[in-house]
Amino acid sequence: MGTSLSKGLRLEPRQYSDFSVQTDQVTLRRPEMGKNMRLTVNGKEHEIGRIASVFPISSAMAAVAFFDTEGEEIGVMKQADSLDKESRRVLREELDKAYFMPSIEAIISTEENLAVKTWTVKTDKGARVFEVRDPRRNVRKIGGSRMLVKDVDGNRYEIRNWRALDRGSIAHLMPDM
Amino acid sequence: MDEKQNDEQEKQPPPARGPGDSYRVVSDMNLDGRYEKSTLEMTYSELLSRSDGKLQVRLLLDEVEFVLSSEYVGNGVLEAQLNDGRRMALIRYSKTLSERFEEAEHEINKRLGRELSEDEKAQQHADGRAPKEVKLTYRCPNCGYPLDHQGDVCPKCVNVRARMWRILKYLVPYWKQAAVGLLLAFALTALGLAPANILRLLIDGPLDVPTILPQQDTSGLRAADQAELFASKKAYRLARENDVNPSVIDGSGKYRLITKNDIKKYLSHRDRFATAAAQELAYRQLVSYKVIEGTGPRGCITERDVEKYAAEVKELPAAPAARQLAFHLGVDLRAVEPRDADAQITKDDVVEASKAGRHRTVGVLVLALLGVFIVRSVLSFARRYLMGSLGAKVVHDIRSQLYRALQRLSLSFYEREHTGRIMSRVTSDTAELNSFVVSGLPNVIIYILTIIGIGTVMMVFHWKLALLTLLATPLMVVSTIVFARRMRVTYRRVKHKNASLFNVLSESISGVHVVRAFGQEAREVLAFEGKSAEFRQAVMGSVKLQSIFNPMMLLLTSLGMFVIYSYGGHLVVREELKLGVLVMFNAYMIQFYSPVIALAELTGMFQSAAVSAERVFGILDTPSQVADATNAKPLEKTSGSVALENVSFAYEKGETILKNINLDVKPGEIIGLVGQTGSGKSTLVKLVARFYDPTKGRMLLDGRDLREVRLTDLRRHIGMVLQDTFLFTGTLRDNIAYGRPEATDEEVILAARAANAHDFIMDMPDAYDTYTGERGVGLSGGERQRIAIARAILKDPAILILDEATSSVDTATEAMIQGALDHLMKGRTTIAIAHRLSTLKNANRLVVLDKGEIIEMGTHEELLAREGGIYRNLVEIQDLMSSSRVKQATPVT
Repeated sequence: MGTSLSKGLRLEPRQYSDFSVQTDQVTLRRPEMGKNMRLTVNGKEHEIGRIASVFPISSAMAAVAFFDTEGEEIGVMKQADSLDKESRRVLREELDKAYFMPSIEAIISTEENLAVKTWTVKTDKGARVFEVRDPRRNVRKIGGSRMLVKDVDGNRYEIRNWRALDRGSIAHLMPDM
Repeated sequence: MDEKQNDEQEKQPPPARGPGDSYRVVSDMNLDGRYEKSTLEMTYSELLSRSDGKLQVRLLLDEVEFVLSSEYVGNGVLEAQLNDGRRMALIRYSKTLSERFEEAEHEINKRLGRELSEDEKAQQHADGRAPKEVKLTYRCPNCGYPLDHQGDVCPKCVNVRARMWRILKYLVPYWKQAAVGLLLAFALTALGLAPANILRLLIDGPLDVPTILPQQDTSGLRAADQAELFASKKAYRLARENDVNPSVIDGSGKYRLITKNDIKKYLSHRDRFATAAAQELAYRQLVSYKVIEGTGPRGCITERDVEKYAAEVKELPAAPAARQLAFHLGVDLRAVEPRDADAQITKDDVVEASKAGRHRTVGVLVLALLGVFIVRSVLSFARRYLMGSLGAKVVHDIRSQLYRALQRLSLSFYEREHTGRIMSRVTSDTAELNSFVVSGLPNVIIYILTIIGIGTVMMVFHWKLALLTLLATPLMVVSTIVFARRMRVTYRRVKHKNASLFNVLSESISGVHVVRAFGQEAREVLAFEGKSAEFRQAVMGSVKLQSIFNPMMLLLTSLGMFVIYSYGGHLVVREELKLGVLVMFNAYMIQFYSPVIALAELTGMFQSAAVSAERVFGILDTPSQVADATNAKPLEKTSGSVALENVSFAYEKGETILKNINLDVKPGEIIGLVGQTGSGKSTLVKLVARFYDPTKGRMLLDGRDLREVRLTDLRRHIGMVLQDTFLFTGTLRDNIAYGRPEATDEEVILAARAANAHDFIMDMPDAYDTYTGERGVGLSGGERQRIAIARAILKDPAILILDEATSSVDTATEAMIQGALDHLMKGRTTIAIAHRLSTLKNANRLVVLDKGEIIEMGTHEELLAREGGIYRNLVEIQDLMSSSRVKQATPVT
């Protein structure tokens, strides 16, 4: 299953490709707190080591890759939000942990100090103060109205729709857009 | 914020476990992924995780095996691995606190008595590994400002004043030049103030023609009636107080009454006279103070002087009107030529005479003005030249010091800093200092002097008006600063948008094949238009700002002018102020504002100069890590026996590269170091050459610790042939003789022959004089290797360090190089990082390193015979790879 250089240069198709398996045959559960998740596909259960979103920035839930406890990929699940409620909950919980990217709801103030700008914002996860450097690289527009901000420590924040922000926030955002 | 507190806490040594000794660490996130202050506390029996005061997780230490920190995207989590196999999240933290929690993991595990090694950690992470993220932010340890790279100067914390003083110290050897420069600054400032003053003298002097009214004769009035002559009580009082006889004064007020100003004007000339009576006499006799040389103290005019002049003038044929006019205009009647030779001196004659005088004065003043400008230019040139040469000298001093420092610094410095960064220290930072000394600092001096000068002069003339004028200054300064800041922001945006646009353009041009092949022209056009629109927007922003800025500045300047002319105008009308002074004030006001605005930007300049200075001084102050101990002994000869005794080594703040190495190399022995990349081969070799000192253990040469040997001697006995042959700009002969420039030509040729280099050198048109390096000929890899070998052969060291190139060369060259190496290694203690099969076979002993430890040791045959041996494995792989190479290299016959 999967690619493996140690067993010689063999490349096999994924055991479960999104073409063959419907999401109603797939469930994701965390049977016990503190233990790994279990992915059940067509009755076969796999212990999950980690998950990774295939398009973490553009569309987190569109495709999710699952890896076993050895780090080998089990497969990629498409359209994860068509899973059942409990599976979705488990998945979202895990993704939230692995990809923490609060959404900025308002920019309260910005202060520029030499090459670094300190943003004071309100996010959907609470109030936050962070520093941004080199806005050309770290304040990006993605898609129509979405923006991604990266601070000096590597924390990420998104602005879901900059046009929907209040005027004050937009004014703070303008110089870096 | 909390960071400093916590840092202090964590710097303390961990106390022994016991009741009351708890370890606390604070986070900025809670387990639900919200930004809340959370704490993780480790008491002697429990692990407690609290968020916003409420308890979230509670574990008994007995349940916990160890804790593990994991990094994810945008956050990290500290989890506890429990004895029953579960893994519980204890606390989450943003990336900002990554370092803190890495230390917390280490600390907690230490207290649990269960520290994890690097391998164990990697294993635990195998399933929870986060994608690789950007490096840790380096923050200034003082103020927390995020720095560009580790060890960079924090622009916030730079002690500007201290740096300034240190820069000035470099001026000390050239103090004479600096002093002259300062003097010139003073002179230039004074000359700068001169033109406005000359203007004033013009307007108030020759260009000022007073209105002359026919004289009244009021001498007959009795004292009692005299009060009626005055326009106001004040005027009367003033006259009485100062002993002024109203009958000699022409009133300028209504009905020709004497005003206070008239008295004041009269009194303003009093100091030219010795006594009040003398002045009165002069007025009565129509003798102007301008025409007499006083004989009294300090050139004052006495009554006798007046009488003497009056007597002289009486003789002259002049109409009374003419006499009166002469008095008012200050013309010396004795000097007036009547138009008609025998006729009287008429009014017109007097007027003509006065004009002549005034023409003369105008001429003088204008010449003076010209003179001022000429002298100013000359002095300005002199000053610029002087400061320029001063700056060049100072920077030369700094640069040489810097270069010397660079030569003495240990390799760890070079590993830490990029070549580019080091170069920018020597070039751009010193250039910054240069411009500071040459223009920044001297200009500041002139600005300050100008401001003081103008301020003083204005205050002297009329302090009230001066204050009022200068009142508009802060407004101007503030608005300029605000605008300047806005302008900078908009310009930056314009620059970025321009760059983005240019990017799109260049990409679509260089990638035109891809665009066409995939038929994406329409999309590219859209993208370009989008970027172009953004650019246009940005430009509009800056245009808008600019179109506001200039008129606004004009408006503010006019404000100052408004103040001057309204208040000052009143003063002139009231005759409290001369017109010339007013004009001078106006001129000064304009001159005043530019230095003020320039000074407002001052702090920025000082700060950036201080930052540059800090970077340069940082290098100068770095102590050399590998230096001669005070008791370093010279080493004349060495047999060439090298030994490593329990040597361990780790780079700064990094993993241990070498672990407890023990190796004994006998004189003349050829040792081959083998191992995968990262096994520690290069590091071991660097330790032998004493580029670094071992972190633990000793490096021995002939039984003596390397640290006890003088570095210059040590280096004399070690020769190096490295992978990357560096050829300096110079001739081939220079390069070969680099280690021993005093070598004879014969020695150089012999060395080149032994290195199998002589032949290809002789094939070159310039032979040994061929120029290599930056502007010179490029040599092939194999040729460079052989030059390097020749270099080492010429040096003839007792110990040779060889780092074989892994790049493949054709078999012919390979044979050449092999032959050269054989010559080189003969009879010399050699430590070679071996890749070639031939070297491996020739070595007396092979040392196999893996992850910093010696795994196997023996001859090539011995090791090859070992079943499942690492060496054997490596050789097999190499054979696999090289066999395909050999096929390629076989010439087609």
